[in-house]
Amino acid sequence: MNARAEIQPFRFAGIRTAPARTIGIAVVLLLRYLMALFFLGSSLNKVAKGWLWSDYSRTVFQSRLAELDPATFGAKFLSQFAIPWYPLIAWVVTLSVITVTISLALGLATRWGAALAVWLMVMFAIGGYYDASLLPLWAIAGLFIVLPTGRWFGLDRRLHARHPASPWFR
Amino acid sequence: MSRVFLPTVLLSLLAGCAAPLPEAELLIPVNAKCTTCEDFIRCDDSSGNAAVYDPTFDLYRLEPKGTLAQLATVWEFLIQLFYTRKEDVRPLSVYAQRPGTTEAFARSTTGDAEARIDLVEHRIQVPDAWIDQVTGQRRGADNTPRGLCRLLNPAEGRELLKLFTEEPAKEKS
Repeated sequence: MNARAEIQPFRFAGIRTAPARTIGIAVVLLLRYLMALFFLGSSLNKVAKGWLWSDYSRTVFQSRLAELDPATFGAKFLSQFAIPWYPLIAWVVTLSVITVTISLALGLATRWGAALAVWLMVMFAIGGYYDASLLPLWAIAGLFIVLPTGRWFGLDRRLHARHPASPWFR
Repeated sequence: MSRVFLPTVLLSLLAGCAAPLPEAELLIPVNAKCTTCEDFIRCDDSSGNAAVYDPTFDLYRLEPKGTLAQLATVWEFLIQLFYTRKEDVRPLSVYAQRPGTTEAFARSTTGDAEARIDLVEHRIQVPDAWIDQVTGQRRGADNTPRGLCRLLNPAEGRELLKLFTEEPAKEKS
């Protein structure tokens, strides 16, 4: 059997035999659920504000544009791309945050969900929404790309056993 | 055990959701969620006589938050479900224009201050006064009226700021 496939599932009972590993995994899993909660908040907010079926996103982009220095890249990105294409952006952003929420909460295609989260946050930064709070979020999402958290605890474990060649559940 | 524990913890946390603050129509709205925004509030002292030109004004520049305060917003975002934030603090610079003695105007700048925004009472506490965000009135520490304030759009604010970086204005002959 390939040693790479032998990823043990997370169990609290493991604290007796391998306390450091168990606590480390528990912390990473807790971070995953906190990030899922973070994206759940964002998803609920976008659905509640009607991002998919109204021009609310345009209003959001326009008010952000008013706050930015017109010479910045973020201001140009908003005025020349995000505002003219607001229905497309609203759909992409809303569906992406919902996808990330489901992926991280269920441990389903977790590495891909985390990669989508990183991409989304890079887009937010480019689009004039950068602040230092994105730095730890990038680092935390990076952990879920590198580590097999979905196979420690999540649907990836079961789906990988069923589809071992699939890149989605690694 | 873990299959039950984590979802139970998350659901318990969600069950204790905090109530949102009541919304109000504000003359001076300041986005408490924006960490990188710059807001400019201009307050003019009024003599009460429209015929008398009074050049006195203060420009309050609410600056973007520092790196640590920006990092803290991750925590604030996560706990907003369970705890309603009642105050926001922003770095502040105050630019003051007064009638000059040897020149037309005397202008001064005070940095390293902070503005405390009361998200319940809708007041902005600045070093020597507080501003009512609903009415735009500025009052001193002893509640005496000190003129009216208005929120400038960022472009207008940056333009006005140039007055304080240019050479002092000369008295007209």
